[in-house]
Amino acid sequence: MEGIVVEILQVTVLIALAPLFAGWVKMVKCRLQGRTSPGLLQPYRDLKKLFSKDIVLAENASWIFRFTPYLVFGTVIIAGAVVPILSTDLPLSLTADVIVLVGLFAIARFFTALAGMDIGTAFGGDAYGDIHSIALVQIDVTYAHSRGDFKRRLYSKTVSRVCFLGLCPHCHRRERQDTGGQPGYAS
Amino acid sequence: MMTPINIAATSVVLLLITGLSAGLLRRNQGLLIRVSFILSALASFMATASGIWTVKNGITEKIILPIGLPDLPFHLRLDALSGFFMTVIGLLSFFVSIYSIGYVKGFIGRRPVTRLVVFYCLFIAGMFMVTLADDALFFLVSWEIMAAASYFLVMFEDEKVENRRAAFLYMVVAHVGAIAILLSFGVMAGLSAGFESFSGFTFDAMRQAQFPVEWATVAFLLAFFGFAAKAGVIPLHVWLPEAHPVAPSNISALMSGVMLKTAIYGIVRVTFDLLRVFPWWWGAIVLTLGLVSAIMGVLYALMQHDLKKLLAYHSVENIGIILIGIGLAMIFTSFKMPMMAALALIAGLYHTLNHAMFKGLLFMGAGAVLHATHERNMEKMGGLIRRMPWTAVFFLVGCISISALPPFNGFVSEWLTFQAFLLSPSMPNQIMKLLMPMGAALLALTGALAAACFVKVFGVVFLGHSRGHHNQNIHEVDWSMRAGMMMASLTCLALGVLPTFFIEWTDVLSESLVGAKLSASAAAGGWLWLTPIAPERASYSGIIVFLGILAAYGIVYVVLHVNPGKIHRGAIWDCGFEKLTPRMQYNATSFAMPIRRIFGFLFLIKEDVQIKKAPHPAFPKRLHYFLRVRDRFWFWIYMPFTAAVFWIARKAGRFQQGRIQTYLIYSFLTLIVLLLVKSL
Repeated sequence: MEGIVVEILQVTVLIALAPLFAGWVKMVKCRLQGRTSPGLLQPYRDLKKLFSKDIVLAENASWIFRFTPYLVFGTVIIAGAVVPILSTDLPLSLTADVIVLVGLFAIARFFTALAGMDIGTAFGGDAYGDIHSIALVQIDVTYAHSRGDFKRRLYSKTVSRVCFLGLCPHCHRRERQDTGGQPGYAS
Repeated sequence: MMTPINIAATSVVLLLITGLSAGLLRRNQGLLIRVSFILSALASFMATASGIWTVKNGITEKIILPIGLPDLPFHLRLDALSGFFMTVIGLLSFFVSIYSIGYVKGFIGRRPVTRLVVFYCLFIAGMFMVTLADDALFFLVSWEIMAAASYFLVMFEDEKVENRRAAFLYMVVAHVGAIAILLSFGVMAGLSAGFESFSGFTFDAMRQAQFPVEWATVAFLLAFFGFAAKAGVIPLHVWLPEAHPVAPSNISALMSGVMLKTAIYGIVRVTFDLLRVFPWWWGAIVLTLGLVSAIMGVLYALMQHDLKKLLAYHSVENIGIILIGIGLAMIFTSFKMPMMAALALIAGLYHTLNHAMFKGLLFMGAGAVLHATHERNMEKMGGLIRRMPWTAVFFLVGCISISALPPFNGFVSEWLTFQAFLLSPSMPNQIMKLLMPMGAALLALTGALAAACFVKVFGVVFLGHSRGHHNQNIHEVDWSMRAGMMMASLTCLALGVLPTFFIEWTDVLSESLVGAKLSASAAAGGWLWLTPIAPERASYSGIIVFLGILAAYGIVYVVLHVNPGKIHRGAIWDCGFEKLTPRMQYNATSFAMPIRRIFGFLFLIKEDVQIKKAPHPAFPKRLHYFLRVRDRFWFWIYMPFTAAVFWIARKAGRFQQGRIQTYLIYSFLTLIVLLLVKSL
């Protein structure tokens, strides 16, 4: 019973604080680039604004495009429920080890890339970048994992947490938009 | 008597009768298709049931048929290993047989299908017989029935030159492989019972014999060469991407999904059952070739834009992954680590079943696309998800499974293979300890590249706008094709979320081959969690991942989107240009471009850009882009080899001049030589 409470608490805290992290990353970045940052709470304001807006879909978007955000959210939630953040003794912690976590993020990426191609514009470019980064991270984590001593499970959980933060599809997407990382016009 | 082997034998007989009597119905092709494919589905179902039953209860049964050579009758044996492979073959054959009812109908009016039906039944019967065979003669007879039947199936549309060429290449490689297998059995038979009688050719005699290491090595290398040729292990894979795409799609599904698995069966049978004792470097050979096949297979697949050829290259990749598991199991066995060997072996066998399911599903999906669009070139597809919604869902399941993404089945087996890899630090051999993590990293890269490849496949074929011109008559396929694909998809999901049941089922198998059971530790935390070694070491629960994603989806959907009226559809962002055309989308070639740049040295690439003058300087110049990517192995190995054969043939041809005097001298000299030999 206690475990379930901690589990729910952890997921809630994670969802509630994730935008704060995104805001913090943005702040640090702005400092480094000598700009004024939009403030720590900006992602919350963005979210509030976005939730009150209507949904606009491209005219030929299929259900893949509609389904992807939910799937990404679902995988991140599962990852958040598995990785020890508030407590190391979580009832769901057996659901996934570090390789499964990488797989979870990979499936989020898989669908993000598909959603990119779903619209059928010349800007499916994100699709490749996303997939490419999975390839490298997956090798990296596996290699690190296989060299490390297995009894130190917590260590590997830390590794996974690092990649959890680095790979969170939301942060990543926002980052792209910040830098205006549009691919060139595909000729 | 209802015992598994009788059911299996009945199913083989039923298939043979169905195949051989198909000619009777040749005047009514529609009826022929329905009757024969329903009968073959029934036979496959019976074989599956007998296979599941055998493995579950660990039954071993034998039958000796009163036909065959004078003192070598046909021996049949159904044990856990053959039962497992019979299940794999039977299950996919069952799905494909149902699918074929609709698929083969598409040929009516274009060409007679009697030949397809006859060889389809013989092909499946041949595969079942391979798993049942318990002596070398019957094994090779079945092997040849399977090879010959599939040759005729590849040749089905024989008016095309590429089909004839592919079928010929397939036949040559299959026979070179079969000769190696025959020699391997010959070595084992000769050592187990001498060269005087045929009794050594039974597998029982080989099981009881003790082989000297050097001869065992010869037998293993020959057998591995022969089976690798059939399985399409790099560098013996060249026939595979030629033959699989040109066969009808239901046949490609069977060839890629299960025919390659008979070769895996052969490797496991010869090493773990017949030879039993082996040094670690045999496993290292299997593992290395598995890794090479996995990584090269996926890289070559990424370069393809022919849908079926791409899937064929993925079979090379997946055979590689299966061999990684089996190679690891061999290494662990030779180091006397039965638990770890069991883990690696089960990982390999699990992937065998999984690959059969998802590759069969993908080829069935490709067949549905081909059936609807009459197009294999991905560059001319696009947007099919709107015309073929069901096929798209099933194909997506196949894509997720093959990309090793949770919660589908491909992930579980690759995850188990990773776990086996991660146990390698406990090996006593330093070199292995050092190199193993590299192997694990390569396997990870393979998985990631496969995911990239299937984003490309699904994105280009089903999403976006159509790139072709023939989009008008595209329609969803009929119920039987959908039923076949649906059952395969559901099996993919079930194998992905309920792995503990599979592992319990295969306990007998790993115990009989490597002497250890996995289920005690694998299901230690209950059926919900898969914990192959120990819960604190590695764990996975596919069902929680699956239900978790579903629950998150449901909750968020209900909470956030109660009002569907808030969804608007708008025109896509065209960056200020007047008009976006479907040709501006990413296509199969442009998607793979970065990989082509990074790994370009592995391919033979011919790229050419031509700038042509515009009719008037005011207009932009016209660009023409040519790209041809070819398999380097063809030029590294096969071209020199054929050149050498032709050279020898030309030299030998000098003896044959067409002059009767010369031939008389040859006969005379032969006679003298023979007399001399006799007199000595």
